[in-house]
Amino acid sequence: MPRSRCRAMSETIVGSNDVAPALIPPLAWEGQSRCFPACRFRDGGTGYPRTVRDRSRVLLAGRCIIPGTACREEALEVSMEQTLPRRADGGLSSEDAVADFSWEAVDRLDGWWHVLLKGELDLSGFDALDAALSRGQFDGKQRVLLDLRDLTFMDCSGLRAILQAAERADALGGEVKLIPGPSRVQRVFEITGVIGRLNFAEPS
Amino acid sequence: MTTSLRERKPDTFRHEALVYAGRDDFVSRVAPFIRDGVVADEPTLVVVDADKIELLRSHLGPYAAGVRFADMAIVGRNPARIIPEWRAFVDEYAASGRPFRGVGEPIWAARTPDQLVECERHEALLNLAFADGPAWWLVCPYDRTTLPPSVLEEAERNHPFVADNGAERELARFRGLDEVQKPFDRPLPLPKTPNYEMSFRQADLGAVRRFTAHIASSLGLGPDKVQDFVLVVDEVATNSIRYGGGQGHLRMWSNGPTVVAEIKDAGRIDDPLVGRHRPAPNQRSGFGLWAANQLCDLVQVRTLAGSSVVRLHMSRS
Repeated sequence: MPRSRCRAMSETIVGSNDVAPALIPPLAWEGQSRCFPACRFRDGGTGYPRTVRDRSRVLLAGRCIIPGTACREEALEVSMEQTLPRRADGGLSSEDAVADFSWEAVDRLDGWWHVLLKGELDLSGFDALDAALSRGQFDGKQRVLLDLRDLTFMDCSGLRAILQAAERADALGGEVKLIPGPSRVQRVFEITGVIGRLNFAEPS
Repeated sequence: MTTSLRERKPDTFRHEALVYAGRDDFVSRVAPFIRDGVVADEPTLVVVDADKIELLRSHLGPYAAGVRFADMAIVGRNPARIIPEWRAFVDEYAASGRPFRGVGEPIWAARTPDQLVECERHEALLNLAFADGPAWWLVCPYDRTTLPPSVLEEAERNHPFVADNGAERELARFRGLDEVQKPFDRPLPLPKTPNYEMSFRQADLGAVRRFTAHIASSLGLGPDKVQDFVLVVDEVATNSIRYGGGQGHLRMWSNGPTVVAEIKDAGRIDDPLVGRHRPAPNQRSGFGLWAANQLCDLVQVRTLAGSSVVRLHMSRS
């Protein structure tokens, strides 16, 4: 359960911070899906739990591929578990996976690929998404519907991956459409003024 | 050097400080400058506070109809947002070949010390931002009755032209473009309250976001502001990872009504106007500090010996 794991983590923080422990009440972590990193405070340092990485997975025509491996779809949960680092307190769950970035693609058989982006699209997500949309299955010649509805965070690195995909498609004869994400994702398109350069579609 | 402010026409960008004494003096000197622009069919943008806009409107009467007004309290809440406003105005009329003019008052007595430093930096950067552009005339009023002498002295260093009490002085104390272009290394004040910090690399970006969200929320930012703050800290931290040696250090603290996050890395920020260029249509990167300026109430950028520092201020209200 998130509660027990998170309390353990936050106690680490409070214990290493005697400056203003009241600011970091352990109960603040209840219900949060991700634990706080062990951060370094003024009076001493602790490390961080390893960040979950390299879990971008590709779901193509019913086959699941985890980069660097090839596994069957029914093995997905097990494989995801195995790629997640275990923390010192033994805590681990798929909730951790929600926070990081992953994507999956489905051929809609109407000429469009539906690419669902999930989690937090940042600099690490950029590497995963840009690689996927430029090498591999997608090379700029396909029609791709990028679905942003399951993104919980996106920054300008994510924006850059999307802009590059759109430019590649323009140059190579493909097409990129976007299904708008939640407001915190749309905000990035708005403040950077690029919203007019991209083709937003209605969810279908 | 005794020509009146009203008679001179610029042939390049003319950035001029107008030192006035109180409201009556403000309106009696700024209104004729605006009216002359309207009569000459020069597009005119006036960015002052709402009170002064009303004052000018009533004084200008029918001439006010040809003038564009904007509230400096909104446009210049973060002074780094002012140059893009002028840039948009300049771009709108640069091709027309017509002269145009502006009035901008970014500095007033209630500015906090941090804001004041950034407003003065903004005034210095205006010279650089429009040095190569078309001829236009920007007048920056300074109220001698409410601003301390040190601020008026700094105004003289940041404006090639100064109109004070009917007399004009030109290039007397202007610091010059070369100095404006140097890395900005004005020291930043030390935080007074306990601060919370973490070092980060690329693998820690998610941790940076959760750290920022938690501390910002603990320090009293509301949910929407926390969300914006998380985005800008993430952007600046991403810059550290990409351009600042692959890692950086984040500190957060509370400073009166604002929450502050500082990101320090081993990079070097060379473009003095960074964060003040509206992203170009074909731009793919360099959005980070632009976004920070749009969402934060104040952004302080410094290039120090061997490191660069970005301080982000977000007001609780």
